Amino acid sequence: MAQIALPSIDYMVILQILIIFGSATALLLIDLFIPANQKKITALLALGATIGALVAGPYSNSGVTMANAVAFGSSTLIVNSIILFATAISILFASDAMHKQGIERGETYVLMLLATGGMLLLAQGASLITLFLGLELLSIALYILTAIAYPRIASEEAGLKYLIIGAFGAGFLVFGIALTFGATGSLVLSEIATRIPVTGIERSLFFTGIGLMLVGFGYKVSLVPFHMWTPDVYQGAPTSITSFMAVGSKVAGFIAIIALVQMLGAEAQVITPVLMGIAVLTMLVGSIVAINQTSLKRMLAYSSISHAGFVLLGVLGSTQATGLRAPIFYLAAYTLTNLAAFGVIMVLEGSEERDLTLADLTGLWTRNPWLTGIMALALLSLAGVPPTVGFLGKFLVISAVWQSGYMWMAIIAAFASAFAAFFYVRALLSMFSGTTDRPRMTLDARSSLALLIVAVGIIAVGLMPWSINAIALAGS
Amino acid sequence: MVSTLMYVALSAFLFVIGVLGVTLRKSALMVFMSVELMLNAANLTLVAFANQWKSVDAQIMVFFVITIAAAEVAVGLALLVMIFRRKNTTDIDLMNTLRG
Repeated sequence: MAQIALPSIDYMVILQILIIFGSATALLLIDLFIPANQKKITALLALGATIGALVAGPYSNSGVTMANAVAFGSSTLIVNSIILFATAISILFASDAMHKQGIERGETYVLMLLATGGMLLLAQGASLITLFLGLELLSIALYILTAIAYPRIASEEAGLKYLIIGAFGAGFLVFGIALTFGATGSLVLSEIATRIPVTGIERSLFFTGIGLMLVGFGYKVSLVPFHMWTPDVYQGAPTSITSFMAVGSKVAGFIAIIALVQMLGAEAQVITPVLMGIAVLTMLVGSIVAINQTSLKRMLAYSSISHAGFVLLGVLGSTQATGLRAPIFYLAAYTLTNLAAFGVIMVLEGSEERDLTLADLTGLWTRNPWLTGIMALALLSLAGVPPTVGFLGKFLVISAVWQSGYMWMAIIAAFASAFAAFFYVRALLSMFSGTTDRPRMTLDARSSLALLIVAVGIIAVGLMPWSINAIALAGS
Repeated sequence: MVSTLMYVALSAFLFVIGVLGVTLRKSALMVFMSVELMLNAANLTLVAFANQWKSVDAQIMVFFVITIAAAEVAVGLALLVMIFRRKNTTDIDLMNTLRG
């Protein structure tokens, strides 16, 4: 066997990952010296690290390093920025909500940073090893975060459920990687792309492997029929963690799926029909089942399933000429909108542990008009009403799918979003109608700041799409 | 010399046993063990193919998989112990606090 040569490392390519993992490790140590009632200092430090990594993005080098395992490019820069933005907002949310509920622990922020590092690794992964490691780093941190409200049985059960399903998905992923390696003899995506077997048993091994890997990632981004865990876990986890998990793991998971589909190149047409079917099923199941839900978090969980279908459709629609503009923009829109929606629910929960239902929204207008406004914005964006960012995301995906020749898919997508709009409008109306004897509510500075940022984002990006559009075009 | 495909067939068999174990078993401990079986089936495939291609990449992958599996089970067992203290059961069908 040949001697193992140590690969050279360009540290500027992995700059953001280094900052996040480095500060997570340091923070774990620093946190020991921070008294239990002062954990907001830990939050502040974690926030600083996240913003530092966000700022470091443009200074990173483009290229591939560490024996072709990690890459950085202009589209990675956008995705990393989305992930780090979501983390920063989630840290603000968590530090407010967990303090109110008396479950604030220093580890929370360390784990959030570790999960973020996993997401960045997944986004920058150029080899199947990196993709696997990124996915697992992000998952294991999220299992613990889901259960972090641990005197609460719902949170513990959600954590265990998430872990079992996650580990099951990981099993499929690893077996898929093994078969893909067997068929091509390489774990590096760019090498696999040149070695896709054209005939024989290798070809069937290869596509079985790809299929199993997509199952593994499908669990992570909750595509139907791998979505059963989503409502339970979203409901059981503390809300500030739910928003982080809903946004971050979905963005990162889809980037991995995009990387796989891109790796296949022209051969992607072999799996396109199956993925199209899954996308349609995901959109429809997510939209239709959401109508029946009364729990707000479960409703948003099903809505996130339906959005996953849209992103997948965008990925498939854009394998040809249009580039990755549609799915990446959709993910950005999804991030802003869900952070706003979960943020409002989190603020409404306050110090209560109860799961909020649709009835809790009744008469919200009389309790706090600002909060109502932000929730209304989030719901309109989820439903895809202009001038919000959600509308543009849907528009881009549907037009990309239409242009790539899947007319009927575009029509189904339009119908699915009309179905989903039904629920959002119901929630919207109940906020403005009716009265409630509950007292007015006041907002904490951290949550207000975070909600303000995402609300401005929903409108601003919705009105000025060219900003993100231009970047995404450059990156495709 | 046993051909590589025999190893793949064996590991596919083990993988299916693992999948069935996860879906059919009720005890969370047995589910963890079945997940381990799935991961180790994949490891066997990786090692067999690494031998065929004379490549160390897949062998390195195996080390990562073993490490990750250990980390995952550590978290899983910790969660299970906490839940067991409260509910006195490891039956995952009884963990039904969350229902829509």
